[in-house]
Amino acid sequence: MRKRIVSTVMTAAMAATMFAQVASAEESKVVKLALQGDSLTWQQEIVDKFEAETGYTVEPVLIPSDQDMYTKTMLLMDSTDTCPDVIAEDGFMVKSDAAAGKLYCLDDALADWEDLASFAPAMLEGGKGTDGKTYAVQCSTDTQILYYNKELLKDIGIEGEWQPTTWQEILDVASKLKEANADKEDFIPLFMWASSTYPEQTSMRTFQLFLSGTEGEWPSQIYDEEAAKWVVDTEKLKTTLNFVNDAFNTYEVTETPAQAADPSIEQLLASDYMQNGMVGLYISGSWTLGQFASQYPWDEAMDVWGCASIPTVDGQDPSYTTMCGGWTWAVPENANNKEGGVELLKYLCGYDGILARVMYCGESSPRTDVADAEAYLSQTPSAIPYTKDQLVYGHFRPSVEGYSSITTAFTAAVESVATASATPEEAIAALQEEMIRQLGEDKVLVK
Amino acid sequence: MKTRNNMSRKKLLTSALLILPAAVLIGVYYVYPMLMTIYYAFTDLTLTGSAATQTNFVGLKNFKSILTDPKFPEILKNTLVFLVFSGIIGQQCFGFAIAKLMKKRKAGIRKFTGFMVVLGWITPEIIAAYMFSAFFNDKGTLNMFVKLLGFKKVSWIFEYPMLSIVLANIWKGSAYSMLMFQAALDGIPDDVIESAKIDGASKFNILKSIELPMIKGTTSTTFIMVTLGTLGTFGMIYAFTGGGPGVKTTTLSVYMYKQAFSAFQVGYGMAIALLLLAIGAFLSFVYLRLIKANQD
Repeated sequence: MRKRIVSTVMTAAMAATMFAQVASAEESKVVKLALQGDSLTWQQEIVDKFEAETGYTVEPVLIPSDQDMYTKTMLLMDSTDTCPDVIAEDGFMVKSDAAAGKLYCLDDALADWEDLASFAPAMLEGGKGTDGKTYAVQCSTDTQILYYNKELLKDIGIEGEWQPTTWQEILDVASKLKEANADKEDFIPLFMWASSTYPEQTSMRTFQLFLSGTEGEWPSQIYDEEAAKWVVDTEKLKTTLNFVNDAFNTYEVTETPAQAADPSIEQLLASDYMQNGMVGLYISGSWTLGQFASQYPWDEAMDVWGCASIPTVDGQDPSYTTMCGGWTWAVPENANNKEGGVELLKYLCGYDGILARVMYCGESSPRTDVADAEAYLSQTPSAIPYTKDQLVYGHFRPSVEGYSSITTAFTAAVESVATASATPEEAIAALQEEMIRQLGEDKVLVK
Repeated sequence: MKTRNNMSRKKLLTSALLILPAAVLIGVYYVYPMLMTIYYAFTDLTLTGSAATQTNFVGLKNFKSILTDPKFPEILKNTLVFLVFSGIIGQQCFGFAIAKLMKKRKAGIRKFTGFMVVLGWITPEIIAAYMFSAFFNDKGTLNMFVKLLGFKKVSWIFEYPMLSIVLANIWKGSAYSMLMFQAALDGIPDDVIESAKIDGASKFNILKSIELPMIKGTTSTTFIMVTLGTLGTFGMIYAFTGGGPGVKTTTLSVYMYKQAFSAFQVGYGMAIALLLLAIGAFLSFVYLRLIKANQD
C-alpha cells in the first residue's frame, strides 16, 4: 500500500514538473508588448518579422485610454503576474520609473548591440536614469511648431512664408483671423493645449514651450541644475501665464474651454478642422503634418499648411524656442521574459522599426541613419525638413526625478488661467504651493 | 450540564465555521485594504520615483498638506454642494415626488414610469456621463433646442459645470430613493389616510403629519445610503467633466484619484480618501443620532 502511495506521488510530481517545464518553455517564447490603443498598426510588420526570425510569439497588451496610460503601465509593472516584457514609455517617465526600480537596466543586454552607434548621443541620454545607466531606448522625438493656414492668412493680407517674431504678433494675427472668420461657427483662430484632458501636451506644448521663450537659458526658468532645485520664477511665470490669459480671455482668440477639454479634439483637428479651414494657427508637434500621409490621407496638406517657429517673448536671442519630446521602449524589471523583451526592443529600435514608426506617425527619428534615409527625407506631407533647422532651438523637459509628478501642476496652472478660474498671479501662487507640497520647501527656489 | 456545555461549544464552532468564509472575504477585501489605506495615508508613497521603493513614514504631513492646500476649500465646497444638491435634496426629493405621484396610479403608468426612472439607475455611470456630455455639449442636444428657440448657444459644461453634474447625478440616482419611498408609501394603511380625509385634513397636512412621519425610518436609511453613495461618486464626474474646468467640479473623490494616479502621489491620495471616509462616517453618525432622537 505504502509503495503504491509513494509511486503515485512520485508520478504526479514528475508529471507536474514536466508540465511546468513545458509551460515555462512555452512562456519563455511569448513576449508581452504593452502599448497604447491602436499603435500596433505601424509596428505590426516589425512584430511579424521578429516572430518569424526569432520564433517568439508577441502578445500585445493594448492600453486603450490615452490619458491614464502612464498609470496603467505602472500598475501593470508592479506585479510579475501582469508585467509586460516590453513597454512604450514616454520619455519624461524614464528617470522616475528607473528610480522606482520599475525598469530593467539595459547596459549589459545592449553592450554588444551595434545599432546603438546609430543613435544621436542626445537621444541615448533620454533613455538614461539619474544613475547614468540605460533603462530605455528612444524610438521617436519631436519639436513644437506653430502651424499656420496659408489660405486663411492670405485672406488677412499675409502671403507666402510667415514667421512671427514676438508673442504679441501671434495674438495680433489670431485676432485678425478671428475677425475675418467671424461667420464660421466653432472657428478656432489659435489652438493651444490648455486642458487637463491633455495633461502632458498642456504642460510641454504650452507651459514649458512658452516659459522657455522667456529671458534666460532653459531650464533655468523652472529648474536650477546647480542647486538641484525646482524654481518658481514669478516674473517669468507671469509672462507665460499672462500670454495664456491674453490668448484665452483678453483677445479670446483660442478654442473654447469646451473644445480644449474635448477628448476627441486632437483627432478632430486632423480629420476635420485643419482640412476644412476651421483653425488658423495650431501649436503642436512636428509629427502633425505627417498624419496626413497615412492616418488621415490629404494630399494638399503642404499647400494649405505652413510651418513657423515659436518666437521668444519679444524676439530676444536666440529668437526662437521649441521643446523636444519623444517616446522610448523599455523592459520592466518585473518582466518574466527579459531576454525576449530585449530582443523585441532591438527589433523595434532597429533601422526598420524606427523607420516604420516615424514614417507612420510623422515623428522625427532619433537614429541618424534613419534621419538620412531617402524615404524619410522625401516623405510628404511632412514637417521633417523644417524640423532639421529647428533643432538648434530645442530644449528638453527637466530630466530629473520628480518631473512626472510636478508636470501635472504645470497643466493645472495653464488650465486654471485658460478657463478664467484663476488670474495668472493666483495660478502662480497655487503652483508654488503645490510644488512645495510635492517636493518640500528645501527643493523649491522661489524668485 | 456537561452535555449542554458540549452542545453550546458545538453550536459555537458551527457558527464560527459558517461565519468564517464571510469573515475571510471581508478581511481580505475590506479590512486589509482599509488598514493599508490608513497606513499609506501617513507615508510619502508614490507610484514612481525613489519614494516608490523607499517609503517613509511622514506622520500628519499629508493631512496638514491637504488642509493648507489652497484648492482644498473649493474642493470641499464642491463636495458638499454636490452632496446636498444632487444627493440629499435632488435624489431624495425627486425620488419622493415620483413615488408620491405614482401612488394610486394605474399599474401600467406605475410600471412605465418606474421603468424609465430605474433605467437611469441601471445605466453604467460611464455611459450616463457620455450621455450627459452629449446632451450638455456645445453641439449637444440641449443647445440644439436652445438654437431652435432662437437663443444663442450656451457652453453649459463650462458656464454651469456644477449644475450639469448635479442634474446628471439626480437623473442617475433618483431611482433608488423612488423605490425606497414607493415601498414605504405603499406600506401606509389606506384607512389612516381615509380617516384623515374624513376629518378634513388637506393633502399638505396628510403629507406633513401622516405620511412623512410614518416613513421616517425609510427616509433616514435612504439619507445615509444616498449620502455615502454621493460622497463616493467618481466615475461619472471624472468621465463627464474630469473635475474641470479648473477645479470647479473637482470633488474629494476626484481629487483623490488625480493626486494618487495622475500626480502619482499615492500617500497624499490615501490621506484624502481617509478624510472622505471620516466625512461619510461623521454624517452617518449625525443621521443615526437624529433618528434615535426622533424615536425617543
